[in-house]
Formats: sequence, structure tokens, C-alpha cells
Amino acid sequence: MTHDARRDQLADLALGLLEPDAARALQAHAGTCATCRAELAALQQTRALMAGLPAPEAPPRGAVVVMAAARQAAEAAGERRPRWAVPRWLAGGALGVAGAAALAVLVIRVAAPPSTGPLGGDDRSLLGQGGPPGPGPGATVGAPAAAPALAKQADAAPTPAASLVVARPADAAPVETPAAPRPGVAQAVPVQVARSDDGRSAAPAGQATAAIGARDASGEAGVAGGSARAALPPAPATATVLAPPPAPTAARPPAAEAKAKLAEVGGAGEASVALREESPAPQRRSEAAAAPLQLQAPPPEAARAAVPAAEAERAPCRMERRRVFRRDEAGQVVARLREGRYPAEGGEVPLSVEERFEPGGRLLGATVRAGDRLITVSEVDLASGRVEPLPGVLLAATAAEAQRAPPRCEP
Amino acid sequence: VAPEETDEQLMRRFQRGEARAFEALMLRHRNQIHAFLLRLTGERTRAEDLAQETFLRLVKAAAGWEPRASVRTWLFTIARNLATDAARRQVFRATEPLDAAEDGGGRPRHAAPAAAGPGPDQAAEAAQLRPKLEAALAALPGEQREVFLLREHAGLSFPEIAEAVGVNENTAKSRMRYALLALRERLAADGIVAASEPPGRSTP
Repeated sequence: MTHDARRDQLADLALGLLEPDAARALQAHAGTCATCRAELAALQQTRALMAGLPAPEAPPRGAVVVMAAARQAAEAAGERRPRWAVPRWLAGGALGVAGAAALAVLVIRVAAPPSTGPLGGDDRSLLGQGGPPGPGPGATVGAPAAAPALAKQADAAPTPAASLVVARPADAAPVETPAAPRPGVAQAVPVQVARSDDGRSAAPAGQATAAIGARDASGEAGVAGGSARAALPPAPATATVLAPPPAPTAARPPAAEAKAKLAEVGGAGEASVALREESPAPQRRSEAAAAPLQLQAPPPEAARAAVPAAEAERAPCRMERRRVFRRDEAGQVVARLREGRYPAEGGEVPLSVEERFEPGGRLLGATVRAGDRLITVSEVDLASGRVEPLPGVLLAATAAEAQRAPPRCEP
Repeated sequence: VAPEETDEQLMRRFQRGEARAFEALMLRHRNQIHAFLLRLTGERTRAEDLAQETFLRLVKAAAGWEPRASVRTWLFTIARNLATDAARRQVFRATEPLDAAEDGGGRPRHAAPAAAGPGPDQAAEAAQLRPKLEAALAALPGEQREVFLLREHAGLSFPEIAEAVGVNENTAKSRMRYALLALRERLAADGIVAASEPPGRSTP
């Protein structure tokens, strides 16, 4: 046997590719031939070293875009499944006011303490997940506008009664009616939602509600939209779901299902949008409080045109219904994520825009996803001056600009 | 998500409408998919784009997904195909060499993960060794490198590799063999493993 042929065989032996008989024979030979023994050892060592190369941690960029697509797919999957209690009682006339299309379901995500998982706490919020994976926190509360709200806790943890502050629009108009006063002036009405096993709650019936709020990852009460705020106890989050007045026992799904279901209800009014601010620095608190209420469906075209210019600036924006900043350890903004809708043939498609910055500095790149279109803007593209990957989708040149810029709305 | 849940169970849950199950799947595999693509393409930006595209494909495929192949095999196969397609499409494009530790802004983009087990000496040694191993891998011809990575890092079987790469199984195995021999030569040249003994032989 030639030397090269012998080396090939030894390589095959090291790789476990030889038939058992051939392997035994070669091993027997290596037992007596020092050269072959050394060669085999070197090959095995090479294999072990290369196989032991660790996979470096993938950068978090892109994950938000994928998760946005996954959420969308999951919602679509949820819609294909048989409907349960909520649609039935909605359809059953319990509201007596408006059809499902007039409902705005506002989703509250209750964030758990920052995760130290692979994506880190901030990324977790970027991914739109309220808490660590698992059937625990991530409570979702939906409340139909202009509808009697009866809430019950489908509890997951022994928690004291959750105290929700429910905002009521100043008039009883459905939330998405553009004639409603500026969303920011929504009136805060505290409602104690007591734990209850029979499906009843302390919420007065007939109360028009638009429940908004979130506790952000830092444990502070997050402010989402106008004066609406939620003050949830720092205890383990408790899943709270809406239940129909004649609460069927089946209306106690796992929290995760409840979320998907409520999102589905929201789909009818196209208003299931959650605004989550990252844990804002103290000086950003007021800014958050002044943020326009983005938790409502976009007004119809005609009505929007009638909104005064000053209001238009504050109006919910289709292309940016949700914005999240990601920061490094030093608190510098390194990325901004925006999610919304983008006009497309035959309607709208989900839009997500992720811009990546040098910490607190210039734009490094961006990933834009509009429906099935995926556009990656690299540094090379930026050097050639491309900052508008899609018509109307503008990228911020710097992290500072990203924080300064108000939601841009299409004309 | 319970740690013992299989990829396939997570996929089922995702099919039922749980986005969180998909997140768990992605968290489980994204580092390895990213590393695979990084080693396959040698370009950070491209690897990141392709990794993202790989998972987007999985999102799309999820509705009709059936547990014939493992999710992991599926992911690596898609990643490999996307990388191959991208390489075919490649025109002139600025690339980032793999061994660049920092980008222009001086920010480390690819910090090596802290070694968990070994002590400081071993960690330092590993830190010195790793770039050499990566370089040896990068020096392999592409068709050998992909087979080697699919086998050793992704854990695909040779029939799976043969299907993913579009060659027969024997070809896949011989590529694997030549990859190992080439790596062994390279590491010997770097003084990492013992050099071959016999003199005067012709190197492949």
C-alpha cells in the first residue's frame, strides 16, 4: 500500500468511515507501526480540535425581524384554529354597541424582570416577549372599547389583586374613530381587578375601557399612551384575561393561548398593537408620557386628512406603531426597531425596520422587511447615500436622530 | 419553554400559533447557524443576512412542515443552500475579512465568548489557538469546508450531507477525508499537531 493510500485509510479511520473489518485491521497495524500510530493520533487530534471550535455568539441584529415574522405567522396560525369563547360572546350581542370590527383590543404585555438569556434583557423586549419563555408571565389583557368590561384573572401565580388603571376615552366613541378627542387626553379611571374564581370582577359593568399599560423590564410602571398607566404589583405576573359575563369554564385557556386569541380579536378591528418603551431613563419619562397614543387603529384615509397639521404629527402612524430602542451597557442607543404597516398592492403588509448604530453614533446598517420583501442596507449602501430603502421609509443618520425624530407618517 | 422540549415539539407549538416556541427554536440554533454561515462565507455581514434569511424561511415553511427531517438538519441545509446561492450571485462587493477583530469604529463586533470551564491558562491558550483553527478551516476549499462543517458542527449524516450538497455519499465522504488531511497538514505547519514523519512524500 502506498503511503498516501495508507494516510487516506487512517483519515477514514479517524473519521469513523471504515467498515468494521477494515477498521479493526488498520487498528491492529497501527498497534505495531509507530509511524501509522503517530499519524492516526495527529488526525484524531486534528478532528477533535476542529470539532471543538465553539460557535461564537451571533449578533442580535436580525432577530427582531425574524420574530416579527414569526409573530405574524403565529397569529395567522391562531386564526386558522377553531375560535373559542371570546368571538362567540362578542358575536352573541353581549356588547350591544358595536360589531367586532369596531372593537379595539389593546394588549398589555407584562414584562418580567430582565432576562439573562442569550439575547439579553433588552433583546427580549425587542423580540416583543413580555417575559422569559414558558407558560408564566406575559400576561395579556384585552379590553374592548365601548363595551362592558368584565375582567377576571386566569391566575398563574398567587398574586395579590392586580391593580389596573384603565383609561376611558373622554367620550364613548370607539377608539379608532378619528372624531375622538386626541388620544393623549384619555381619562384615567382606576379599576381594581380582583381575583375571582367565578368570572366576575370588580370592574363596573358598562364601563367603556381602553386598557393600556405595561410594566417594563425594570419593574417600573411603563407609560403607554396618554395618561393611561398600569401599576402591576412586582409579584410574579398574573395572566389576566377578559371573560364574558356568562363565563364558560372553557374560557380559561393557558396564558399563551389567551394572548394569541386576543390578538385574533384585535385583528377584527385591526388594532391589536402594543407599544412598549424600553426602560426609559428618568429624564425620558416625561417624553414617554407625552408620546402619542399609538394603541389604536389608524383612522380611515378621509378622516385622517381632516386632522389638523399639529395633530397629524401626533397621530398614530401606520409605518411606526411600535418603536423600541436597544442600548449597550453604557446606555448608548445601538439600535432602533420600528414596526408598523406598509402600503402594498391589495392592502398593507407588516413593516419592520431595524436600524443599527455605533453606540450613540452613526448609522451602521439597517434591515427592512415589508411583507415578503427583505431589504438589507449595509454600510456599503450607506456610503453611497442610500438612506431610503423603501419609499417613505427613512433611516435615521445617527442614534441621536433616531431618538429625536417623531414618528414619521406617510403624507 | 422547558429545556427538554425537542425542536420538533417547539415546531408543533409554533404551528399552533405560539410565537414564543419559535423564539425558543431560534435561540437554540442561531449561534450555530450563524457560525456555520460565517465559516462558510467568510463574511460577517453576509453571514448575518443569511442567518436571518434562514430563520425567515423556517417561519414560512412552518405551516407545512412535517417532521420528516429534523429541524436542525433542515436549518443547516437551507443555510448551506442560501450561502451557495449567494456566492453564485456575488458580484463585486466589499468584504470583511474573518480575522478582523474590530470594525472601523474600533468596536469589537465578534467578542469571543468567555470560556466557561477551563482555568485562565487554558483559556488563554484556547484564545490563541482558536484563530489558527479558524484560519485552517477558512483555508479549505469550499466544497470540503461545507462537508466538514455539516458533519462535524451540524452533525448531519452522510446521506443528509450528500442530499444537501447534491453529490453522492462517496463523494461527500472523500471530501470529508481530504478536509481532515488538509486540516491536519495545516495544523502541523502551525506546530499545533505533530508533523508527518515520512520524508520526501508528495503532498496532496
